[in-house]
Amino acid sequence: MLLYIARRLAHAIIVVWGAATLVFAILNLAPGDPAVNLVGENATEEKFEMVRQALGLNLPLHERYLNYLGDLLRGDLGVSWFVGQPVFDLLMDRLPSTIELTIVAALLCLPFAIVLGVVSALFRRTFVDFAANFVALFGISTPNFWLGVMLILLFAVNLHWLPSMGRGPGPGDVLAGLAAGDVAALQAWASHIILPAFTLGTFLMALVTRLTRTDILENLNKPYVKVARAKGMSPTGVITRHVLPNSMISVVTFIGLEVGALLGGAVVTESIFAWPGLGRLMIDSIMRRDFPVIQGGVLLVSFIFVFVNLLVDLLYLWLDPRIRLR
Amino acid sequence: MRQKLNFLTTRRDVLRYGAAASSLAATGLGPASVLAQEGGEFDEFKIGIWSGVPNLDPEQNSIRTCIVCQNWIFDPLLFRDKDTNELKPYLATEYSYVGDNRWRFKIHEGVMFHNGEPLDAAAVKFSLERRKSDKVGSPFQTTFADVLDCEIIDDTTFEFVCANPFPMMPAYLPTFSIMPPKYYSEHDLSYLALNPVGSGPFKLVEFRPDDVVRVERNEDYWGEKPVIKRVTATIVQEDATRVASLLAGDFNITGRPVMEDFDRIDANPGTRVSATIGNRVVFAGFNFDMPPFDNKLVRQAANYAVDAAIINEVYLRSTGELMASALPSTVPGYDPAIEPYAYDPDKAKALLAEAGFPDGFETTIEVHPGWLIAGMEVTQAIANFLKEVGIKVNLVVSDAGTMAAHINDRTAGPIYVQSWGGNSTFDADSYIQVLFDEGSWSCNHMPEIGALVQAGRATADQAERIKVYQEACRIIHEEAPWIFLYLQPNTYGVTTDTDWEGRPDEMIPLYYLKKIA
Repeated sequence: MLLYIARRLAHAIIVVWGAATLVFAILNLAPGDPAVNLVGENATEEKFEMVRQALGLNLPLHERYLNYLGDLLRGDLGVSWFVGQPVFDLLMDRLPSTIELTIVAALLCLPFAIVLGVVSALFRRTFVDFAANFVALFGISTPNFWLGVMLILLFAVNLHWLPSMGRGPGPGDVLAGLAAGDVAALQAWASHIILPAFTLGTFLMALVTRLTRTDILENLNKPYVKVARAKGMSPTGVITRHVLPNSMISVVTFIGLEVGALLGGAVVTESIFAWPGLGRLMIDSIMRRDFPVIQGGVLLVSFIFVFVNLLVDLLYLWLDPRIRLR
Repeated sequence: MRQKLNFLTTRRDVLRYGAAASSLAATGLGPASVLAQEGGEFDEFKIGIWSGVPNLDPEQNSIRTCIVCQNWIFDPLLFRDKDTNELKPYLATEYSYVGDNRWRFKIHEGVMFHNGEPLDAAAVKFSLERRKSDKVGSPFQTTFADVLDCEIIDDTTFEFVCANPFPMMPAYLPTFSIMPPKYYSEHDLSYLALNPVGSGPFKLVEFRPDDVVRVERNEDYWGEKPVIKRVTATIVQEDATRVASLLAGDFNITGRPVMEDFDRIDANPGTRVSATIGNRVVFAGFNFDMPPFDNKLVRQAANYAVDAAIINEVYLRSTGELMASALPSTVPGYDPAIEPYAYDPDKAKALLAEAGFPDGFETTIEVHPGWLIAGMEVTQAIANFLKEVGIKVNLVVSDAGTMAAHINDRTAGPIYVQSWGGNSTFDADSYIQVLFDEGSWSCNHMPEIGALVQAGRATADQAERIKVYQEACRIIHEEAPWIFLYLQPNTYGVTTDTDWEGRPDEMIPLYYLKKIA
C-alpha cells in the first residue's frame, strides 16, 4: 500500500514538472511583451528596458527556465508583477473560496444526482425516467454563463431574494456567529453561495445522473444480481448492498476528475458571480500576462488534480475488494 | 433618436453647464444645490468596478480602475471641475508658471494625512522623488522625466523645477497623489500595495486585490465632508452581472454598462444611465512602413470608404462623437473648423484608381477587441466598408500584449484598430506626441508633426500651444494617418437617488456626490 502511494507520488512529481515546463514554454514563447502592460502608456524604450531587466525578461530562454526551476525547488513561486504580493500568498488567499464553492456545489448537486440516477434506472422507460432524463439533458446543454445570468435575473433582480454577486462571510465568521447563537452570518453566507454553487453544480449533476443511471442498468443485468435475488434478498437490499457499490466505481472516478477540474478554477461561474476564487485570479493574470501568478496557479491546479486522482484511486480500494486483492 | 439619448452629455452641454454654473455661483447657488435637494447621507454606498484593481499604490500601477479607487484615498494638487472639466486647484490654493522653467504652487495649510503626518511642501517633494525613484519604478516615471526637482519655499509653498517650460505639468497633476513621507519610507512596496495612506476624503478599511475595496469617511477631512459614510467597491468584470447588480439594488453606481442594456437601466424604476463624452479616441491606424499605406491617396480613400457615423449609430447608439482629426473635442487644441471625412464610396474608388489600385487590393486589419466598445463588431464593420470599395480585408485578433508589442515595434496592421485616452491628461501633447511620428504608439512617419510637438513643448503659453496643435490637427486630417472614427463615451449606471454624473476623465470622485431625497 505504502509502495503504491510512493509510486503514485513519484508520478505526481513528473506530472507537476511537466505542467510547469509546459506553461513556462507557452508563456515565454507566445508573441508579445509582458513589459508593455507594466510600464504605462507613455513609456520610453529605456523604461521598457529597465522593466525587462528587473523582471529578467531580457535573459536567454534557457537561463530563465533554469532560474524558474531553481526558484521552484526552493519553494519560491515569485512575486506578482501587478499585485506586488508573493504568488503563494495570493493563491492561498483565493484557494479557500474556490474549495468552499466546489464543496457546496458538490454537496448540493451530487446526492440529488445519484438519487435521480438510481430512480431513473429502476423506473426505466417510465415517466420518472423521462423526467430525470429531461433534467439531465437540461443540465448538460445549459451553459453556465447563461444559467448564471438567468438565476441572477430571477432571484436577485426580479424577486430580490438573493444577492446578485460576491462572497458573503467566510466559514470562520459563520462558525463564530453560530457559536455566539447568531445565524445572521450563516444566512448571509448561504444567500451568497447558493446561486454560484447551483450554477457550478448543475453540469456535474446532469453528468452524474446519466452515468449513475447507465451503470445501475448495466449492473442490474449481471449474474450476481440474479444470485442475490435467488437467495431471497429484498429488492432494496440488492440495490443498496450490491448494485449501488458496484456502480459507484466509475461514478467516483468521474466525480474525482470533475471536482479536481472545478477546484482548478470554475472560471465562468466565478466570473459571473464575482466570486473571488482561483479561476478569477487566473483569468485576471492571463489578461495582464502576470507570468509568476499564471505559472504558480497552473502548478497548484496540476498538484490539486493529481492529488484528487490519488484520493480517487485510494477510494477504489475501499469500494472494490478485488482491487485490494490484486 | 436624440430624444432617446437624453442621458448623453455632449461637449456643448459641458460648456453650457459650465456657464450656468458660473452664473449660479454669482448668485451663491452652486449647481449641486439646484439639482439635488438635501437627501441626507448614504450609510453604505456600493460601486461596481468594471476591471481589475490589483494594487493601490499610486506609483506601482497606471491602471485606470486603480486610479479611480486611489482618488478616494489620496488628494491631488489639482483636479478637474465636475461641470466644466477645467483644471481647478484642489490641495493647491493657487498655481502659476513663474518663468525660468518653474511652476509655483501654494497648498492648503493644516492638512493632515490619515496617519497624522502633516501634508506640507516636504510631502510634495517626497512624492515627486518617489515617482522618479528607480527603486520604486513608477510607470509615471517617464512622464515626469522633465520635472527635475521640487524646491521648498516654505511649508505651504514650493516650485517644481523643470528641464523646459513643461507646459503639460498641470495636466499631469490630477493623477499625482501626495503621500505621507514617513509612512511610505518605512514600509516595503509589497506592504504599500495593499495598505495605502493618503489625506483624501476616505480612509482604507479593506482591500482584497481584484475583488473588493472598502473605505470609510475621513471624519477629519480638511475639505467638504462627503455624504457617504462607507463605500464598497466590488470588481465585477462580467458586463451582464454588473448591470443586473445595479438593477437588483446591489450597486449605486456601476461603470461601463453595455449599450444594449441602456433601455433596461432607464426603464427600471430607481436606476438611470449617465453618459458623457470622454477622452478616448477610437481610430484605425495605418502602418506607413507597409505599402500601399505609405500612399496618402490610399489612406484618404479608406477614410471616404468608411461610414463612421453609421458605426457610431449602430454600435454606440450615437453616444460617440465623430472625429475629424487626432484631438478629442474635450482637449484644448481641438479645431471645430475641421470637418470629418464624409462617407463617399465613389470618391474612395476614384482615389484608389488615382493611387494605382483601380481593382483594390488585399490587406489585414488587426484588433484587440477589449480596447474599445464593441471592438469586434466595429472592426468587422470597417472591413465590410473597405470591401465595398475593393479593399479585401483579413481580420486578425490579437491579445492586448501582442497588439501593444506590434504597435510599439511598428509591425502592427497594416491597419490596426486602437483607442487612446491620452492618460486622461486632456493635454494635446499626450495624443500628438505619442500617436504620431516617433511616438511610442505610432506606426506612421510624420516629421512635420514631430516638429510641432517640440514647438508645443517649448512654451507654457496656452494660447500659443493651442495654435500649434490646431496646425498639427489640420496636417493630420489632410495626411490621414488613421481612419478617423469617433470619441468614445464614458457610461455609467446610477441609482436615481444619487446626484452624480459620469465625467470625461473616467474618475468617480465621491466628495461632491449628493443624495437626492
